[in-house]
Amino acid sequence: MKKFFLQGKKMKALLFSVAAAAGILTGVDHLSSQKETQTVQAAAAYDKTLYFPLSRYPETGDHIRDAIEAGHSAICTIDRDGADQRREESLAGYPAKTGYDRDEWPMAMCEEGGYGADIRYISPSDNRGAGAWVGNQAENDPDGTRVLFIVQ
Amino acid sequence: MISKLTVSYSQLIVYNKGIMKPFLDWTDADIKRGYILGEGVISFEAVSDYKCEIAVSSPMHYDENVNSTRTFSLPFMVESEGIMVSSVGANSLEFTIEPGEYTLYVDTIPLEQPKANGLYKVRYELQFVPN
Repeated sequence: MKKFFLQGKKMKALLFSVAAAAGILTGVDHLSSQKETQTVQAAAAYDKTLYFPLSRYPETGDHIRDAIEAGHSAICTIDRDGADQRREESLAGYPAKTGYDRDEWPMAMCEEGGYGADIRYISPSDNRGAGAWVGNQAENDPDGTRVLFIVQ
Repeated sequence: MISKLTVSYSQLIVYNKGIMKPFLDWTDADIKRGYILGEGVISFEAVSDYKCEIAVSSPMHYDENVNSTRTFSLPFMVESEGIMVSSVGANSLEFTIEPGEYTLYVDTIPLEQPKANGLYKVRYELQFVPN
């Protein structure tokens, strides 16, 4: 029963992320002309999709999924120059703890991050491994790239 | 030469220019050791997820910095003239080092006291000493 609930929760978060990114939660009727408009909007909502590997980084993956489900953006618009300022904002009130990393969602490298970001204390190997994975995926993406994260 | 970089996910990497996907996975043993030695890549723990200074040089002998709070050294083969230094989500920095076998010394030098949020500026001095 518990397993079924978690799968349902995961599925809900996944569908919510995709739906929000595609803009279909904004209220669209089924007239064909509006459908066409909606398709254009969906195409413009993000530039690439990253499927975050939950099984490799379960703590970080859980955090991203929960934060998105709580209403934080599933899309990261890369903005490297503002990362330091946003991290100062997001970590205010969350002191460093020995033996843990402070994971932020949205990440500080994203325009959507900063004040009000969700912070969770996570084991360093999980968090840094996840960071390395993100680093390899986003290494060549210029500022302004909108990346949709789907945890699976 | 000193350049600036933003650290994220508590890691910095030094790698040969041209390596694709240079970031390395971390295990608990890596965390304990503080670094990972890969093929043409060294990944090491950064002490603050904040703006930092990166100083790269290639002296004939290691020049110890008395203000360093942590030092380690590892073998490093420079394959081409360019090495890169980066962190997750950062714009990589490029430095020119002659190809060859080196011992890379890394010193960590805090530049200020930690703020209330635990963040502080740090300088990482990377010295490539030829073997």
